[in-house]
Amino acid sequence: MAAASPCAEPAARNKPDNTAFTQQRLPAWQPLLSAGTALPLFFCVGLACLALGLGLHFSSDTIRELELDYTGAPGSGHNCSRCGNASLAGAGACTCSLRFELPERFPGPVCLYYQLSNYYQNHRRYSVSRDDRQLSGDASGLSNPATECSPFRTDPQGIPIAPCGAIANSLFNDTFALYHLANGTFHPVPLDNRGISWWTDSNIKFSNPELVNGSLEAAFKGTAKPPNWPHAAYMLDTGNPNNTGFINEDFIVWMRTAALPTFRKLYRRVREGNFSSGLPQGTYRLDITYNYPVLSFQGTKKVIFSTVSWMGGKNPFLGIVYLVFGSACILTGFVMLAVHIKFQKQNQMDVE
Amino acid sequence: MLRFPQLYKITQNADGFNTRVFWGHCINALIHSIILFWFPLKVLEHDAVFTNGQGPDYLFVGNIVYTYVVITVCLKAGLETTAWTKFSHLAVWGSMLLWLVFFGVYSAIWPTIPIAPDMLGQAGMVLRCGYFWLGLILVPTACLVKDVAWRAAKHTYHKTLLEQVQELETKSKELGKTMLRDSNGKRFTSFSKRLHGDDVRNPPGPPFQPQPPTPCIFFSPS
Repeated sequence: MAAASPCAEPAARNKPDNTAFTQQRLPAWQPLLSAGTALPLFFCVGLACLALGLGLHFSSDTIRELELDYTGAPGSGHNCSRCGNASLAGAGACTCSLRFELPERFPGPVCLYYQLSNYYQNHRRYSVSRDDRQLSGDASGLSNPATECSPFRTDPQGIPIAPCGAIANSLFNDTFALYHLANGTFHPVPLDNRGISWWTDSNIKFSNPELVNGSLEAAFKGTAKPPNWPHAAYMLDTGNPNNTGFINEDFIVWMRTAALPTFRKLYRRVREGNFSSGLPQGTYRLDITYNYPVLSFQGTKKVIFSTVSWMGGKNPFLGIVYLVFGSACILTGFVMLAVHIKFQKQNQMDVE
Repeated sequence: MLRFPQLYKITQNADGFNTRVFWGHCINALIHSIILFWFPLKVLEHDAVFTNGQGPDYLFVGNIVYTYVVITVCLKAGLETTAWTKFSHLAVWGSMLLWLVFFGVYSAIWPTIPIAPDMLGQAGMVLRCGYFWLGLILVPTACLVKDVAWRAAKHTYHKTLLEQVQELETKSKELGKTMLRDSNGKRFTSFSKRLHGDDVRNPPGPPFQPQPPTPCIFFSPS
């Protein structure tokens, strides 16, 4: 076979391997999709989605929610418009009270949220204005905050700000107290502020700097408070040493920046004492310390009481989408059926 | 290919990839993108997505969107694949798995390695969210249902020559879906026997025989 001719040589030297990989002989699965095979799939998926959609829709309907707008826009005649005017004028703290009726019993645990609107926490420069190194308790972060924090990096005297950045500076500082009317008097409803932030946040990401002589205030020596804060970080929730400084859960919840301009954040839960099984139907009073100014940028503030389920709060969107998609799938299934029947005979004739 | 030399026409006419196909894919991608972005955004709009009432952030939405994107893209690539070898399986399912592994690792490295502080805890919270799992069933399916339907319908009413040949090849084996295609008839005689036996409508051409090298001529037209 190997002729003496020089022309035979190059073919033998460059001959490729005769393996399954190099000769493209790998075992392969060749799916052949046709209307007949896809048909049962569409019907099954459609029916499953319809069932799921109905379940989700009913599940969302069982969640109870109550919204109370307390922005107090001037001229709205609202109880808190006095405070709204005061905030526009730049005056100090103001308190207002809202009396409301709970139309039905809210089974526990009931979550209390505050909702802000027209508030862009996802603004590009706002959302990077933080120093996570400083917030994790790193001593060098206290003395030398990150440059992303500017213009809230140092105060006018050049002292570093702790916690630095625009997100920390704009901390939401309204407070709420809830009272339930029973036997003619208002009884305070205990609000639980534990566990409102993510576990990884409060245990790993945020931690206070090392205590100096057992004192957090001494640990923050050499730093200044953010300009908009009334007190320094170590004065947050002074009654509870596990909730002061950087690990204050309200602060942590605020630092988790929201995706959309209208967002709500968890404030407290009602799950203690007489109200551990939920909020009974009746009259309530909400006392608000109105500190946070939103009227200057046409924002609104709301308080929301909501029960929770396996899927969180009230959200009819998912149920509706599943129903729509299930119907679309079944419709496509019927179209496939029509195509299959119409061309089945034609295909069989082709093959014969 | 030797039995159906008309199959060469496909690449000669650029039937598989031309301007029309390109723009079709682009418009398809636009529709997919609309579904992939707006669905998770609308679902997470009301910020109460966990059983314990806690709230998400912008990265949470982003991670969910990206996970759906990875799943949809891998499945779409798989849909376009005509022959699934083990490498195809590795690429499709392996990519999804790799993203999941990366997501898990990246969500846990701060502060051990000083990068990605904003991602800390994301993987745990995303996988714990009921909406994520429900959307995982719905979103890639919603994106691809039109593609699957289109493909199935086209295959039924307008089979291309390539698809006809593939179908013939698979029909010639009784039940198995695996098809060992070989240009060297001598090695897989058992399969070629079955091919020759059942295929009476299209008589097979001569089996390919390696020609002995003739002096100074490297192949002879057979």
